[in-house]
Amino acid sequence: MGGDALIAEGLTFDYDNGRALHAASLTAPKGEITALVGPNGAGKTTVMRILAGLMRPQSGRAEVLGVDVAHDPRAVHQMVGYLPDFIGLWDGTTVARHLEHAGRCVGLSGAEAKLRAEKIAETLRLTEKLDADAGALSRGQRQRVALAQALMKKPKVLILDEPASGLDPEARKGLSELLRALKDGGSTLLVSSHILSELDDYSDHVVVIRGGRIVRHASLTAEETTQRIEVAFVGADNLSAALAAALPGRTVRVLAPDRAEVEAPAAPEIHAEILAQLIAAGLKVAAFSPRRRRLQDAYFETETAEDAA
Amino acid sequence: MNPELLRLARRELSPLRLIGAPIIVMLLLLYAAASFYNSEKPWEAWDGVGRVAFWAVFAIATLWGARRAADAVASELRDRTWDTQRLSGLGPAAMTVGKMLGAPLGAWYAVSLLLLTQIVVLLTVPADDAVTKLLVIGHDLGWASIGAQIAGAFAMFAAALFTSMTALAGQDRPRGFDTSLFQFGAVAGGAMVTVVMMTVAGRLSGGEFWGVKMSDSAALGLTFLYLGLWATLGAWNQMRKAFGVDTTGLLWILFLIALPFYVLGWGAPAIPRIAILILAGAAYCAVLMEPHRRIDIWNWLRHLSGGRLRAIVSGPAWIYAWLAAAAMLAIYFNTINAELSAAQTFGLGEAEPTVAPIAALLFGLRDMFICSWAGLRAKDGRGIWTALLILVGLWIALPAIGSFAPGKELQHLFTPASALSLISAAVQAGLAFLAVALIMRPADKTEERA
Repeated sequence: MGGDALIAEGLTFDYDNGRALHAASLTAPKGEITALVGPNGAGKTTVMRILAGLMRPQSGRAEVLGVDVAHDPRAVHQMVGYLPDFIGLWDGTTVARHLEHAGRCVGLSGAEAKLRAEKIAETLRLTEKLDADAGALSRGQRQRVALAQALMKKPKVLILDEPASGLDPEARKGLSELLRALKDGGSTLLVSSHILSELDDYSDHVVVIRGGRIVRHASLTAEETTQRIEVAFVGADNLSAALAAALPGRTVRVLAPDRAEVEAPAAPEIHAEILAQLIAAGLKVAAFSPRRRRLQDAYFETETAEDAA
Repeated sequence: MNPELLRLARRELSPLRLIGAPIIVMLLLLYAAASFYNSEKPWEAWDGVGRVAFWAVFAIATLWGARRAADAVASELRDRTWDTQRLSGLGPAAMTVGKMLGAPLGAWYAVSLLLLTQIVVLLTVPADDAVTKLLVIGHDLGWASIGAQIAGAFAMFAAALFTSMTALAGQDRPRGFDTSLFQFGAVAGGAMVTVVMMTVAGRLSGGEFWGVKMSDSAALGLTFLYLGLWATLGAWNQMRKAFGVDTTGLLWILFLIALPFYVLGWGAPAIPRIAILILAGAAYCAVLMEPHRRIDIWNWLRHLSGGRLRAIVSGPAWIYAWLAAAAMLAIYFNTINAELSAAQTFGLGEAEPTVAPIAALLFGLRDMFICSWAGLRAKDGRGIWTALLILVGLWIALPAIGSFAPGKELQHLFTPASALSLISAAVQAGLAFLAVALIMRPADKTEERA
């Protein structure tokens, strides 16, 4: 592992009626999940389509696993699995035929394609739907078929544009599990979504895009960031003063008369030390939960920063 | 086997179609035989079968096969499956072959049954005067005629795919109606090119190609083959663009060699041949332009005009298909007609066919802007019909009214369907300028859109 699987540098893209990207730059590390978030029309889909080799920017450079997208888009097409926002399948064609076609397109024989299709269908809980007409599938099932098509070529990079939109809660949970499994299998994922809490479940990095400009690029992994520890107390009196005395030099926010948040480096030893300091100061700790920095924190921080500017 | 061809074969050659097509063809030909049967001249029944089989090939190729080919990529865009196809791992060449052969496979199946019928007629009817009666649009039924039909169907399907892919560049969601226009554009454009080429080949050159004497059917077959190959290469080139692959310079070199080789091969007078070369070259350059280059050029024009010009790249796709047909019409009426009757028009003599193509392009420019304007402004699909009405007015109604004295001279302002002059060309330029500068509304957001 190590290094960036996806690199975009200074991407500028014009549609016929205006500029969609203004020198946008981002990276997505290998083997990790990067969330691309932003409001509607921010340019998320445009960035993703450029990285997938489906559109060519007016200026700037995109690179996938070391391959320049403009220079060799075919190589990129073969490495990247792309799930578009709007899922398209051939009505009147069975799921099995969809997957077989995807397999044949990457040079598999009919038998090999069938075998791989069965394995992937099993992973995505589509086995029972293999003989079903794609036109008769639900939104969630269509989503899984489209993802299965992308997986037929064993892509090293997956670019998923709003994969959770239109899915029911159960399907969303399944999607989260699948994305984590793909990451564990070594794939690099770039995922966009409006549902920040969901991206939070599996994302390692967040890239915030607004008005065609990348405004924030942050890591969400515990090793690299400051964590917030939520602490609940029993019988606390003047919590603010007690915490100031117990944890000198630390950033503490009192959230409620019996609840506070402590900022600390993401290191278990330091967390243990803080807990010991609280107990030593005579505070009765009812709950102590270091929490990961949330994606929506990173997202809304950009809004706050913009407002301040 | 080509995966896309296999996929389309499974769709196009359904068991129902495989069984149904021979039954329908057989019923049609039995009806033809019964209608043409004459007890005193029994061979006339065969004559009828041959004629009907020929026209059925023509109808199937233009109405069904060309539609399937024109819809091959358009339907994928409509159904949102095109991105998956582009990322499937299949290259542009394989995709072109798959689409070219696979999309009209059902039509090829029906055409092959009808060609088989013609071959049976050809082989079973004795070679006496009865056979010479098997005339179809002036061509004897024979091997050359059958070859020309195959080449014609091939050219038709290739042209339909090429036209639709050209018109689709920059489009992301074509409507079903667009397919009809691509189909019409391909059929009309293809027919006009064929008429022009055949006029040069036959009427003006006496059927000699680089000194080799050819029958009408053979010349027609050669022309179809030439057009079909170019349309296939064009479709492949457009497919490369759609797949983000740089278009090859080799195609340009081939074009620069093949077009003069073909056009100059016929012993026609120089001016029509040069006019065809110029227009074909200009059309080819326009068609091969990369979509993002079009946007660059338009941005540049918009910048120069202070934001007054609105991008036409988002205009209705059908305008491009129509423009191809209009240009071909213009070539025919101005180049060939003008050459044949130069002395009777504005007295420009041999210069007139050279002026005519320029005027024809300006007509095209004018109509493209007017239609784009109409199509963009009106909502709920009414723009299409408004544009169509404008076209009917410009190309049919006004010239028809203008053909009566004393408004005869005015017809040249609206259509190139008659002889043209330099003044007329200048007027067209003025109209195009007005259309661009005044009618096109400035963009709502001339600068940026997130």
